[in-house]
Amino acid sequence: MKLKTTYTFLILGLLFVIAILVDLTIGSVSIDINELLNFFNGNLSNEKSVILNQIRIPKMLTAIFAGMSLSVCGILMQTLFLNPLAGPYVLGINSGANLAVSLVMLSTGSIININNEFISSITLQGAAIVGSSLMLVIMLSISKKFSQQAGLLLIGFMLSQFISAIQSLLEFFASPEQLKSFFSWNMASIGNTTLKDMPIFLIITLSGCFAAILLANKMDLLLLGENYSSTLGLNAQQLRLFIILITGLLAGITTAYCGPIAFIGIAIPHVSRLVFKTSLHLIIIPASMLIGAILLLFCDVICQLPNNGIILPLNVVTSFIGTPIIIYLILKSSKQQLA
Amino acid sequence: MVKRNNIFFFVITIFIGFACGNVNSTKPNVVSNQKKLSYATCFKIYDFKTYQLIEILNQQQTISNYVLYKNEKPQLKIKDAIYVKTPVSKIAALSSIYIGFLKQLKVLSKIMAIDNYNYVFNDSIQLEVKQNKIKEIAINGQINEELAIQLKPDIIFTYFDPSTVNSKNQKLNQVRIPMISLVDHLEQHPLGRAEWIKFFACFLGNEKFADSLFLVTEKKYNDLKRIAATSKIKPKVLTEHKLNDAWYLPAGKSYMATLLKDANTNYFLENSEQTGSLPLSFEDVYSKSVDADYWLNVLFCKTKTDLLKLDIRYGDFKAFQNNHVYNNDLLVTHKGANDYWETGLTQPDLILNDMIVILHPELNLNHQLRFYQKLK
Repeated sequence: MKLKTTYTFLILGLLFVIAILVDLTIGSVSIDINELLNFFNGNLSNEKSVILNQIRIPKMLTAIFAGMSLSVCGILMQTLFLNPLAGPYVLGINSGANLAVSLVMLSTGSIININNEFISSITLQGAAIVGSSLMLVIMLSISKKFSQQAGLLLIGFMLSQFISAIQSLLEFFASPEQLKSFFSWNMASIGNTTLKDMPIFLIITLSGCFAAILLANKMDLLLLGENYSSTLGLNAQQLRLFIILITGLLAGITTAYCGPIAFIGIAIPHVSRLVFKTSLHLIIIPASMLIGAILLLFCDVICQLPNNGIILPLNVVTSFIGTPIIIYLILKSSKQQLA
Repeated sequence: MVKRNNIFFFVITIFIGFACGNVNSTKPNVVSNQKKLSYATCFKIYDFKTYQLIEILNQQQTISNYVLYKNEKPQLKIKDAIYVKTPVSKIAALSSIYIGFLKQLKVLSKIMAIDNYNYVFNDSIQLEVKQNKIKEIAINGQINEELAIQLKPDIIFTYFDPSTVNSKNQKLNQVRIPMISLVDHLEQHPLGRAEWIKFFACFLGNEKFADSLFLVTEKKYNDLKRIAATSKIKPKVLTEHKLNDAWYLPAGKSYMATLLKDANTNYFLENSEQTGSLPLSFEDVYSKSVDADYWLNVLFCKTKTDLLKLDIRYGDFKAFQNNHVYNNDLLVTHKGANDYWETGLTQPDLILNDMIVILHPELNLNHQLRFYQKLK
């Protein structure tokens, strides 16, 4: 690894630690850095310890896992489809989760009365996992029949549109209360998790990211194009299945716990490539994991900034912060290329 | 192929198993201890010697259980039940209708937190929010758990969907702040919603007072219903206006349709079996209600010009031409909080009274309109 790359990773590591500290100290209740240190020494007041234990630490961990997962999904999809606009949700995974969640949320009241004990007993997280997994199974079966990525991309897009239409129909008949619940789920949040959720989120995130790193060299070959890479001995079909499976798991678990988080998945891989000036997956994957986590932590900090009890919706902040960053980086990069 | 299908079903079964919860619970034999409720269908109260069990229901299925005890916490095998020590003295009331109930029960002083100042009509609560004695803990429609933990109310009453507040519930329960998700808005009968005063009283320990208050409301409501029924004129009524392509009208089994029926009116959806609202097309509503005598609840329109700005064709309606368009926005703060939602829903006899005065002038009821006013 080049020295410059090592330094960049070190700087990102430092930023990561700063982001964690800032995220833990900013919120509706004032907790300064000394109090944070006292918390780790077990000398903090009960009320603030509870806030850290029950709210801020699970939220901080969720931001890290979600940021890592979505960024890795973004890389995998952009490599699979050789398309810079691909993101974790192009396979319709997001739509599947959304539909399942809206079925659960909108299953009572309204004129579409899905009065079903089974449906009403499903939790939102469970619904999102079932929805995204079903979409994943469908896409996996379709991918076996298609040799062209473009076809798979189109089918994923079409399925998303189809599912969105069903969802809109459900929303059309929903009551205002149901719509409000669904709307806030759609705005995404990293504050709905508890410490109990963390082990499974951690295991799936780390397994998915580790599996992606293991596939890094093969994905580099895939960037050369499917035909050329197959002459180099790459089993593209098998790699494609692995990529879809990893993306499904990572995007599914993140959507289940946080709702559909915008921007991170598409943009972070570009940020990583521009920062590290390489497309090598062995560098870009860990870099995106770090940058994704840092960005989501800072987005959470910004969500808390109004500081009068108001918490801004996560998706508004990710888009507000992320879009200018990516436009700036693209413009900067194109200027450098011209020069 | 068979093997692949088996794997598929195995994966789905695991996910579904992971997804499900809260299905089986063991409850004590409760039927004989059930308190009689006259209209409310979305909650049940069971009285036991040392505790009360309250069930909240949605379409006759229990969605949550609360065990209320005064002294010693009972050991019951009810899955996911939330235990609340009563009477509570510090309340977070996260909806304006709860303020209405608590005002009726004369315990407004126990409110220490609300959702959002902008939604509150009550003067004294507004003043205490300004003086920082009452805090806002759900300004943007989400409970701010950090503020809730800092304030430590004895109980949080909220309308948020139980499925969406599940994790917040867990967090707040761990610090012994019970969060109660109410579904009073699902009641189809106005008196059913008003009967939720008995629900609040269980937590406050003044049930007899609540019973007496409800009896008064029930009597007034039913007396008014009888008076309205004496009129031989059954005016044709239309409500709401269209939003984009859909005109959301109250279905036959909805809260508003029941009020219209009890006000002895002719409402073209009164026989539909659905609850909530029905999205109808403009031409459907136009063809059936262009000759309606009265038009009520025109959302945010203050004047007839506002209605015409939305759609010039509203001018064709008979109620519009005869100046018979009324909105329930007589008592509204400059921030938009409406007493109709705070007091009206807890005392539906007041709403019915307004309706009868408007819709049955021939009955000559001597009553000043409380919530409704004619559009200028």
